[in-house]
Amino acid sequence: MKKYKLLLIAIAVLANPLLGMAADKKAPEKKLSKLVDPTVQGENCVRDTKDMRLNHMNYILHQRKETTQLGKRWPKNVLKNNYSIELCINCHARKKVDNKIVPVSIKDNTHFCSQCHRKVSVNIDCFSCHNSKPTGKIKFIKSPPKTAQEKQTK
Amino acid sequence: MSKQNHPDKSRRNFITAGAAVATLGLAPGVKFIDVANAGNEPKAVTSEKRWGMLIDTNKCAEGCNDCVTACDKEFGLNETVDGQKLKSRPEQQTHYIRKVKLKNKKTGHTLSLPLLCQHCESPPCVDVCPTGASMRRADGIVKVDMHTCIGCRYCMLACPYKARSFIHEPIENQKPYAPRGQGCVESCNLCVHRVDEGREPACVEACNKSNHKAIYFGDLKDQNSVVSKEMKKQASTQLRDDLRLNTGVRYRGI
Repeated sequence: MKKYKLLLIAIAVLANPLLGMAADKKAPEKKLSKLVDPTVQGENCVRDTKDMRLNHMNYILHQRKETTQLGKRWPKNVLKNNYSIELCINCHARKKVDNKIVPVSIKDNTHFCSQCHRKVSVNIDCFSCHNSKPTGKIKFIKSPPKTAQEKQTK
Repeated sequence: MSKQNHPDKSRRNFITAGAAVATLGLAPGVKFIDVANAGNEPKAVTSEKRWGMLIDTNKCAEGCNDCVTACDKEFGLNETVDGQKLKSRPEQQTHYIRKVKLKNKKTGHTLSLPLLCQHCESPPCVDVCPTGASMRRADGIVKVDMHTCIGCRYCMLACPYKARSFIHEPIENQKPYAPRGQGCVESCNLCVHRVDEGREPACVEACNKSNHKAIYFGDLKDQNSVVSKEMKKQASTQLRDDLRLNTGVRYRGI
């Protein structure tokens, strides 16, 4: 019986990363990346792009609770791990028309959010209250500065 | 001992091992956002502060509407979409702050004062809210979390000051710091976006600008704040103090 036990644990430990990658990340990531229009894009999002494509809803939901109920306000100049919807919109809700970058409303099919969400028919409620057009100045996020820890790991 | 009293332990062991494997399988999927965010996380507000106001009705000028217009402008209240007329009646439209005129029938003495959410310590609107959308922040600001508001309007009935409004019409081009949408209840939130930045609310700013200086704003728990000092000088009143709500907005000269 002991042998079985060890074997089972060994299989679980070995197979886990493989399973995780296959089921959790690769398949939807590939599909999603085809949908996004790359004409207006910065180098990097507030977090790794692949991660954002899959998990943005969780990050946004988490920060909205913290901000509205606990009063935690992330400073606007800090982009790393800042999931304020105002920041999202400020960069993403723009497109190029005749070499000019113009703001896009959610009513437009080419709005950054609606491109994916229409395709996968996931109805989002954000813009019944939030403004879907950028109101601030145009600013593109270059890849956020890496922390000392990240430099070491990479 | 008979064999029946000792069930096959190897089976039990197998099940335990199975459970361990299942747990290990789950672990990588669990994400701790807190851990990922640990670097630049700002601090939550605490009850060490309590934001409040003192309104001097002697200084408040009759006919002056500056605080109301400043508030409307700050939050983009009652703005039309695409130049179309608002369908709701004036009494249905949103007011965070409004001017009220009081007249003593016996003496004929009139008073003019701005009335807004009183930011109670024990707010009736929070008591009655079925979803927890009507909320009081730790620093005393009472507001609506529109993410969870279902628009039942129970809080509007409960509020003794008539401070809340319901949004009847679709809204576009909201201010990024003050999202609001059709089907939610809303009220004065003491310009929470400004207060968190260390600025004073829009109505206070407008009142100072018009040189009436009738509204004092600050931390009620700080003995050295402008409000506390002013409150110490002269008597101030709570509206409907019989309800024992311990309001954050106080009046002088009523």
